Amino acid sequence: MLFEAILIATIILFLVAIYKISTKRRNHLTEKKAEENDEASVVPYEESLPSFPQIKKEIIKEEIYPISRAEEWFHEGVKNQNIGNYDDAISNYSKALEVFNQKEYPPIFAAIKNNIGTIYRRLASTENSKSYLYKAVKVYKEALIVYANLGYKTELAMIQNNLGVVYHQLANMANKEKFFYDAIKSFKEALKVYDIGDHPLEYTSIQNNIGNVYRDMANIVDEKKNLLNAASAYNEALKIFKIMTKLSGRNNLPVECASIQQNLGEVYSRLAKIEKNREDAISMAIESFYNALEIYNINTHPSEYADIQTQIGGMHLFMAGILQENNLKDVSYYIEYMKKRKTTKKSTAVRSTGAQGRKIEETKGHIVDKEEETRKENLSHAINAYKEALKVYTLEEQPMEYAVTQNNLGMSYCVLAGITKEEEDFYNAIEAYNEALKVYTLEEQPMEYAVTCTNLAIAYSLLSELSNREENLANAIESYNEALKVYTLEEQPMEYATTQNNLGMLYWMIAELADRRGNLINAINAYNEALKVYTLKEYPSEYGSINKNLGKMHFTLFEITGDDDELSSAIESYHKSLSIYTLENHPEEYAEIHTNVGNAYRELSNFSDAEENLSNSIDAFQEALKVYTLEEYPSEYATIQNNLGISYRNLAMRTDMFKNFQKAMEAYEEALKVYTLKKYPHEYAMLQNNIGNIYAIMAGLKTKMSFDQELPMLSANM
Amino acid sequence: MIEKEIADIYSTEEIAKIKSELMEALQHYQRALKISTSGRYPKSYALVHNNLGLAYVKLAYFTNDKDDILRAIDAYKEALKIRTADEYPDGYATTQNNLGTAYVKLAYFTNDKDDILRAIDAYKEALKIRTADEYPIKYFLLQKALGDAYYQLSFKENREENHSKAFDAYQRFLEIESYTNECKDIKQMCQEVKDKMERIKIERGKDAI
Repeated sequence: MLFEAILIATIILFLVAIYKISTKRRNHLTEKKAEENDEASVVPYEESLPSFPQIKKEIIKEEIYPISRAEEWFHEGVKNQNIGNYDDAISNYSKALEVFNQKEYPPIFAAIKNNIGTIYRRLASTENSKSYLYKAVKVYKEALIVYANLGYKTELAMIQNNLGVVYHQLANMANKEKFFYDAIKSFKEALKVYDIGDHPLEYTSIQNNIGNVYRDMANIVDEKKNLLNAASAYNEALKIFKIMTKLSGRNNLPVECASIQQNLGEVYSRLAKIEKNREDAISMAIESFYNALEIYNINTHPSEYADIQTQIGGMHLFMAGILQENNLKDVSYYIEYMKKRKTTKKSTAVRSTGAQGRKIEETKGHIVDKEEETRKENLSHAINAYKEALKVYTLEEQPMEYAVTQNNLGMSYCVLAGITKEEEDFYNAIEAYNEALKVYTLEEQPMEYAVTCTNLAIAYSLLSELSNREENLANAIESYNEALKVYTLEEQPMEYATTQNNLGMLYWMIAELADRRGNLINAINAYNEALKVYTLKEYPSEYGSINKNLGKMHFTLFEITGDDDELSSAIESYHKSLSIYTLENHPEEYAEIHTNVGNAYRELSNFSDAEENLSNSIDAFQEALKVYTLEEYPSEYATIQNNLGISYRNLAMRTDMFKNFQKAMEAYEEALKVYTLKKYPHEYAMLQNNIGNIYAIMAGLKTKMSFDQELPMLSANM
Repeated sequence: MIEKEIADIYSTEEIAKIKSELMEALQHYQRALKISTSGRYPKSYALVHNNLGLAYVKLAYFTNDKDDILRAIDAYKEALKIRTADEYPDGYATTQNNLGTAYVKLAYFTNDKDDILRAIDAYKEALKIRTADEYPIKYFLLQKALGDAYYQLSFKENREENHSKAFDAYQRFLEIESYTNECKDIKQMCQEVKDKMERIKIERGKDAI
């Protein structure tokens, strides 16, 4: 009976401790992880002492003086332990142990050993020292042997629990797998006594402790297996609350139920990131979080409420396929995601020229629609969750939490906007990022500042597709340049390269609207910076696409300035890109680039080495024709044949006149197979002009008259 | 004069071949123009008309038919309806250049000083675009054409004044020597111009006496 009373008292204390610890734990943004492991033992030392009358009974048998003296030391020890004078307490206890030895006073000996163990555990935490934990293990084991010999089952279970807690601490501190197993073994021993029927609350708390051990063990070994074990332990811990719910509804659930639900939610969140079938894990995580929120409400537990809402938001973002984790680092993943979306769109557009391609795109489009619906739903949920969290996190009170959450809110809006194409969603995203930037400064939080600026740049550049193109592109460029105040080639090569790459693209886009030449030069410079990281060997695909873009930009610059150096640069860049875009692996790019190379060589022939450059131009067009066949790419085929005709015509005027005129004519005839009067009247007309030119030139050459015909450029394929 | 030259240089078969090629060319241009109307494809309309004009000028060389030159001039004028100096400066200069040459050829037939004056106007229009800085080669060649036209005009009127204008234009052309002298054709042209300048000097001397 007495022990039961003690246990009830313990449980109350335990509840308080759980509450305190979970409160502390929730503030993970400000506190280090090591403190998470400070679980409450089932039986805190104050209550675990054998009661005084019991001691008295045994004392009477012995000599009065030394016993009463030892008793005094003992009480002194408890007093000192309670106020945190651990050194004094230990010295009091050692003096008491001189009388209360194991042989004559086994129960009190064990109780004192237990108390000393608890002191060591405290000291280990405050001094962050493993050696105290080893000492704790030693003394707990001494107590354990005594209780085992005495057959005191409840005390035995208490010590096992305490031992489990120490092993857990030790495992985290020493990072050793073995101690995790020891911890679990000890807790399971304790469970032999604390079964769910007779000791529901102890059962619950030990299962929770076991869950925590498995959760932490997952950090170093068998992540998935241990997380699953953790989840099943937490679910065991929750059994009692499920019974309570059945009996008296959900209204009276205690806060520790919320804490365990949150633990469970967090374990599922982690599982979601490693499981193949992540959707189930995500829904279970979200369900657990919502269960916790039925107990933690915004008024009674604002900080838990906000933290869980943030995690719910993160899970929904994850479900939307955007984030690996709900933290700042993963913005890079999000950027990748946005980039991927862009390129997929582009390449399907190109592919849609063939009839087969169109079919593929249609079926794809159907799946994409369904996927987008789910994604939209998840993003809306994420937005709501972050908004709830922001009811608690204010700029003034929790600036860091405020900024993180605003940044996440911004991302949710931004990706949503990418689907809905609603300007308002973009404005919401931009507003959220700007709120985050009220906290993050270049000087104080450079990395967060740079990440948020990057996000802002993405929002602006996507918005530019919808409205105020020039203004929004300029804003995006400005934001990326802010990020570059942080990202340097030496320190953050990856971020530096990504940013320069995106800047290159934005400068290129804005060049179409303003200061064409200046912005193209900016774009080229940015791309060249990106190439300092994106080397052929390490980042072949980036290396290829950037060089391809550089080729196009140098050619455009040539068209503006007439500077033939730009042509040489264009050709050089294109050749570099061709080390990636091979005929076998990237036939379409191979053909497109060769087309452009052919045009560049022909332009170059007007400046120097006419014959050589014209031959190169012809060779390049012939390469393009390996892909652009009449059957598969009729329109490209015709364009190239026309271009080939022009190059042969020009070559004819330099060398092998009749042979080359013949080839020019053949090429034009090939083009006419596609450019029929009916289907392509204008192209047909221009080909007729070009054919007419050849006849006129042939006549002119024979008469030694000058020729000055003009050629139309049939869709020069830029 | 033209007929005699052709007969000297080409055999009858050759002339027939060239004529048929030019007729072929004209046919293709006409096909192109069925589609490229001024309303639908104004740029192409102008381009093909410019090329059509060139072909007619060549044809006239063999047919010795004034009407072919007139057809060429009409074609150039059509092109110029689209190619204004403001909208298509490059095309405008090209076609004005060609138009000038066509008027010079027309003057062989008409012997009319007004045609030479028209040629001079056209060259001057082209030179508004073909400045020495932007298009050096085209600028020099146009100066030679302008000089030739003034020289021709000097036989019809204001002998001294036109001599001096031709002389000035030739001098501007000869600056090409400091620009480039790699091309054989250009060397030949320079020699031709120098000879003409000598002749002008001699004739001026005569006038002075």
